[in-house]
Parts: sequence; C-alpha cells; structure tokens
Amino acid sequence: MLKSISLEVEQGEVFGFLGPNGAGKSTAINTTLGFIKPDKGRVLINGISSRETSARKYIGYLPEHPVFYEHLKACELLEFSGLASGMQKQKLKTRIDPILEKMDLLPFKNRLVKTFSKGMKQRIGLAMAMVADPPILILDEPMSGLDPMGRKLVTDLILELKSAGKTIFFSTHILNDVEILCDRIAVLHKGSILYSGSTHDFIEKNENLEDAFINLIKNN
Amino acid sequence: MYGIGLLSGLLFISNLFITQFFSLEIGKVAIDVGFSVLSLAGLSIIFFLGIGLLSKDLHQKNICMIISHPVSRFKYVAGKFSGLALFLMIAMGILGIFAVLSLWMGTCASGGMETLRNFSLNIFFCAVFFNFLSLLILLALGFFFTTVTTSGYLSMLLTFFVYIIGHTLDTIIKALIKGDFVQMDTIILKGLKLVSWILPNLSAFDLKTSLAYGLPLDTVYLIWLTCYGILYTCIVLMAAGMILHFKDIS
Repeated sequence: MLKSISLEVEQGEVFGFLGPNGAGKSTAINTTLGFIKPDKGRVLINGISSRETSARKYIGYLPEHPVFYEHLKACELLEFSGLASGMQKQKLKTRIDPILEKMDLLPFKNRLVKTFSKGMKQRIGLAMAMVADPPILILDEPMSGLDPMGRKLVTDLILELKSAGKTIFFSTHILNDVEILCDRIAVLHKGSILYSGSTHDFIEKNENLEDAFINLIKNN
Repeated sequence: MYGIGLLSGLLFISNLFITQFFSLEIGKVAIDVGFSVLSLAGLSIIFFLGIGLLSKDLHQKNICMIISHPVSRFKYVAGKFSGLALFLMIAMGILGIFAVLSLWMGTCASGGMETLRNFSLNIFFCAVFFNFLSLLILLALGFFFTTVTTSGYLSMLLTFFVYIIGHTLDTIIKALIKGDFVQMDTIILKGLKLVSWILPNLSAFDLKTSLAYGLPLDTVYLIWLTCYGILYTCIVLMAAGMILHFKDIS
C-alpha cells in the first residue's frame, strides 16, 4: 500500500526507484500506468492522466515478470506491440530487425517465445517496450533474470537511451546499476518515500550507495 | 482448428452411417446429429477458448502487455470478442457445410436431398445462423462473468448455469401457462416470461424443430429475434468493458 507519495520525473533523466522487497515499487508503477486507480490524488504523464488511453502512447513498459502470447514468434510479438502502439506497418518492418539486433536476439527472430530462456524473455520484453520508440520508458526490475552479459547489455542500452534524450524510470534493488545509471533516485519503504533527490547527494555522507541505502532503511 | 476439423470428419462419417441405418425420417435424424455436433463445437469454443483465454489474460496479467499500449479496456474486450466470434462463425460454417454434404451423400443413392420430407436448405442455414447468434450471447456472458469473478472456473460455471436456464426456463413457462400441473397467477407468469428474456431466452434461437418438421418460420419474428440477440450481446459486452474499465489490475 502506498501512503501519499509525490514524485516528479523530469524529461530526459534516468530516475531510479529503490526500495526493499514489498516496499510498494511495483504498486507505484502499476498506478503510474493506470492499472490501479489511486484512492486519492492523480498521476500525470506529459500532463495527461495516466488513466487516459492517450497517455500511454508516450510510454514503453517492461513489467517485473513479463508474460507474453508465447505461441508467437519474436518478430510477431514485436509487430503486435508496434501495431498496438499505433505504428504504421511499413515503418514497423524497418524497426524490428535493428531492435532485435540491439537486444542480441536477431538469430532468434523466427523462434517461438515459449522456447526462450528467462533472460531472453526479459530482453524481448524490453524490445517490446522500445519498438514504438516512446519518449518515456518505465521499467520494473529490468535487470531481473539477466546474466552478467545481459545486465551489461541493458546497462549500455539505458545509457544509449539517456543520451538520445529518453526519460527512463526504473525500479531496482541492484544498487550498482543505480550508481552508474541514475541522475536522481527515490527510496521507497513501507509505502512511503524516505528520500527523493540526486544520487550524488544521497551517497555524500556515506561510503557508498549500499551503505547509504541500508542506513536509511534501518533508521526508518 | 484441428478440433473443428476432427469434429467435421466425425459429423460427416456419423451422418453417412446414420442415413444408411434409417429408411424413414433420415433428415430429422441427420439434423439432430448435425446440430448436436454444432452445439458441442460452439460450447467447446466458448468455454475452453473464449472464457479460458480471457481468464488467463486477466488472471495471469497478459492483459498488462496490451493495456500498457494506447489500447482502451473497452477496445480490448471488443477485439477479443470479435476474434472469437469470427472463429466461432468459421467453425459453424464449416460444420454446417459438412452436415449438408454428408446428408447429400447419404441420400444420393435414394434420389438426393429432394426426397427428404419438408427439408429446406434455406431453413437449415437459417437455423445454423440462429444457433451462432445464441452462442454469441453465451460468449458475451462468459466475458461478463470472467470480468466479474476472480476465477476462470467460476465464470465457466456461471455461464453454464445461464446456458441451462436459458434453454429450459421457456419450456417450464410454457408448461405453466398450459396449467396442466400447477395453476399460477397471470402476473407471475408474465414476470417469469420477462425474466426468461432477461436471462436470456436461448431456447428461442433453437429452430431445430421447425427445420426437422418443416414448420413455417415467421420473418418478422426472426428479424425481432436477430435484433434481440445482437442487442443483448452488445449490452452484455458493454457491461463487461465497463467492469474491466474500473477494475484494478495489479
């Protein structure tokens, strides 16, 4: 359950959403996407309520546990995602292969998603989020289930997206990634925000991000 | 699709055999077999494919991958329903054609289908259409119950109850109106009649008897029945979409 949280993510920044298990990170993300209606308050995406369908044309989303129509091939899944985002078929055709290549999945283009490993499913989920080239990416635990190679791939990808001016909001409890990637962070614990601000300021009084995070959680 | 192919084959073979065993009223027997297979196939599609798929989407969160795109929940329900309705229509069409084909082959030796008493191809396909319409109503109700309940089995059970009630209530009311066994107040009977159309009245879509006995069909009644079926389906689907719109998906 979330308790009166307030957050603002600026355009073009990478925002890390941290918190221990059960802190409410996924609930906050589900509310941001309009899957859950808040009891009070509102969530705005580019000034549009997240409950409005039109708000979601700006978003690419990767859930914590991506589920797919597994009888589809990787390329069909991306085509489905692109069409659902309102992309033109012609433009979509030129977009699928580069995205699959970026995610190291091009050799598996015509393979059924049900035959994919957990890491490959995570990467195809990320490809689905990016296929329509949305300005905002909301990623729920994007590193979950990835091996070190996969994590490196996603880290590099987030940095590339950042340099392309995309806004990225992602939840994680892998603190190393946060240190490398995030401009600002928010720490959520038991449904409340304990800290919201720059990553640099958060670490300042501690040796590293991990210490800062553990101290903050322990003191609350 | 393989299932429909298998059922079509079974229907074809069984009708061929049946027409060899009976010398009288071959048409009636073949119609009974044909429509039983048609109903069985339709119900299987609704319960296992329709309700099963939607329930899996809702309860295993597949829906999140769709509604995270600019797709409204109403559009999701309408799209899912349209796809399944199209599949149902193709299945009914294939089975209907196989039923006629097997009947024609079975009666070829004895002079063809013209020799069958009171049999009309137009009424046959009309009956197939109304069977399809009743299945659409049931599919929409299956969608509605899936959005209301938290379990796929429960929505299957509720849809099954409506199917049974929809096919039997009208017969019970007719028996009550006759008054052979129980005398009931006219207002209560009228109320029951109204309830039978609200639940809905699926037996009204069963034109098997008219087809088998060559009874004439009233065009105005058929138009009214079509409007009722389409309107009922739309209302139930809108209700399902509305419930899904306000439902938290987490």
